[in-house]
Amino acid sequence: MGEPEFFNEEWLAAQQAFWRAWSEKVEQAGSGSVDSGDPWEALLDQWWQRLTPAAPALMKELLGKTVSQAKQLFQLAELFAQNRPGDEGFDWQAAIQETFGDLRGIIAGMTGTMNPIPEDMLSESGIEQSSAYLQRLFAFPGLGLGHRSQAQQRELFSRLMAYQKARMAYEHFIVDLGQRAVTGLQEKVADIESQGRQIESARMLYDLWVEVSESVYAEEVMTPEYVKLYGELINSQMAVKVQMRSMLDDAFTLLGMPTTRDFRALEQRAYDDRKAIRALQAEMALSKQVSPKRAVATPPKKKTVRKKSAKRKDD
Amino acid sequence: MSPIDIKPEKLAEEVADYSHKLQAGVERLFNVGEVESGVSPREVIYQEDKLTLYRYLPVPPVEEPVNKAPLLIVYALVNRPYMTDIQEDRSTIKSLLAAGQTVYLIDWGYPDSTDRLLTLDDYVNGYIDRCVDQVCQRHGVDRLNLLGICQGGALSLCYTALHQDKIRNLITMVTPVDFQTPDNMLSAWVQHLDVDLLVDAQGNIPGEFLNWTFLALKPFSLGGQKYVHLLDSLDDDERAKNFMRMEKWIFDSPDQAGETFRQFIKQFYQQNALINDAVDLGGQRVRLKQITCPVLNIYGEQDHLVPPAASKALKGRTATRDYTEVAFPGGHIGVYVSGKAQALIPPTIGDWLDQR
Repeated sequence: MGEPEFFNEEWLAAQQAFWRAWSEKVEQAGSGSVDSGDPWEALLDQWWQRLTPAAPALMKELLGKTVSQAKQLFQLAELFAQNRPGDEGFDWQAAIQETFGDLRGIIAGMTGTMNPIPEDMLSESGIEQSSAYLQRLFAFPGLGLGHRSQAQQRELFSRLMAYQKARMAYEHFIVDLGQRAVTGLQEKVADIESQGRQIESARMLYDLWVEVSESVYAEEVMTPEYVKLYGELINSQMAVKVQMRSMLDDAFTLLGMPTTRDFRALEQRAYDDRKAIRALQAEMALSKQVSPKRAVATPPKKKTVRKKSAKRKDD
Repeated sequence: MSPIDIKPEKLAEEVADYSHKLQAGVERLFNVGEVESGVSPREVIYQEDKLTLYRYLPVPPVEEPVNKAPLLIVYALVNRPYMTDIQEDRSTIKSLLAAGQTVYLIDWGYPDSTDRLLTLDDYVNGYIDRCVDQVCQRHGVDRLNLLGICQGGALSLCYTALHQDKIRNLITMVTPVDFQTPDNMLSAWVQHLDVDLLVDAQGNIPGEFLNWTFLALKPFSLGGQKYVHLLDSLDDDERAKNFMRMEKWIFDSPDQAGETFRQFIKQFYQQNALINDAVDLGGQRVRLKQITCPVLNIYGEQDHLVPPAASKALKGRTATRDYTEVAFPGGHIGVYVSGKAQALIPPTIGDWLDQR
């Protein structure tokens, strides 16, 4: 391990001391008035930053997710420790929604793996700012020598707009889904209350949230509405990509540089050659199998022929 | 009484406990070292392009396989086949060897752009067929036993239908047959997808895209909760290592050859062609009724990737008079890695094969 000083009991002891003090403070102050200032989080961040450079990639990713989830979990729990559902000014459903209900990371992950343009350029505000200007710019018909590239740019813009629209529609669906999950959680919490039980730990609350959200999600993403939105999201993204590639290929051609078209042609040739080689190999293997049989079968035939011809000669 | 009552002192305790586990978990994970994949000894029998055909060596006390008929495993093109041999005490391969089987496996490798144009025909009538020939020649037999896993099961069904004379027995594990059952999330998602556009734009389909798609099936559990619960399962070195192995496998997704992906999504998912005898491989029509050999179909009762109904649809679709179905109480991955599966699945396969 690269940073052994971070794995001693001091770090842990410091945290425990803080939480004891914080807990006492909350008790004294009553609900809703203590701001912890996230010292646990700050300590965790500090520790994590020192640790990260020494961690192997797989572990870095894994623990990164663990640390980030833990931070969210305890941020939320802290709110509940200071407030009770029903307290004035405490919107617990909104708090949960804000902490865990944001599925946009998942969307960004899904589309981001193949995104032709940076994610932040696709935000609602990003497009709104540029769309009016671009719409004016591309309102003119393509003219003169540059008409081809103008048409290409217009097409790219139109595809980008379609992608953005699909993305927004998808995001709205996901946000609505998060709200439905909160409603589901409310019902679940009411169930628990009616059974005379209580949620007493951050983990219990979190697990319940996951259970409800997963169930709502599983139902919603099987609807025709979602299927259409998902299809449009991916299709519009691919349409942007194809157009961008075509334009880049044209530019590369002008520069005398290899293009995707060239690579695809080479791939086709490699594939055809591979098939031809395989066919030849199969033919050779077959002839090898057949040859020994021929070797056995041929001599008697030849002998017969010789005898006959010899006979003829004798005749 | 408030339904949510998280007391500050309880929270403090919880955070401290979590911190303690985090510290211990990190220490443990740092000591895991290299995470090896595949544990059973094996030898390379045949190689072609990215493909490698392995034979797994018998493990003592089994010196020689009881069942001389070789068993060829065809894994999915998605993910890596070392899942079947992931660790010493969770290895379907090892358990099959222990059950006296002669085990071979096709590792598809990692396709790159030179493989973009490979078709399903190339995979089924090309690669699989040549591997079958290699194994048969080696053993001096005309037929072997075929075990297809997940998508590999669908490919194995196609292969058996087209080359029945080379297959003695067919086993399908967590294999989709009806690709449009109402509970199939993946299937629903691709129905509105323009696969031609996707493949034309991407060439090969990035493994990372598939990773995200699989995560999106259960985003709350797989993208978040799993990591919160992770620290509870890191209480010893071996469990930490096992977790890392599994994590490595989950995200080790090869890119998919573009043409194969196009054909698979269109024919299998969008047209549901396998169940309708309409799969076309290089001009050859795949008809499940062409399958006459004994069939063992194993599915997971809690499989969220291949719902049970998708697998059970095989019943009555082939022409075999010897069809057996085994329901495993677990999910898509559990069927080869859970302790329960190790005790049930490989011995069942072994017995079933030995009787035939």
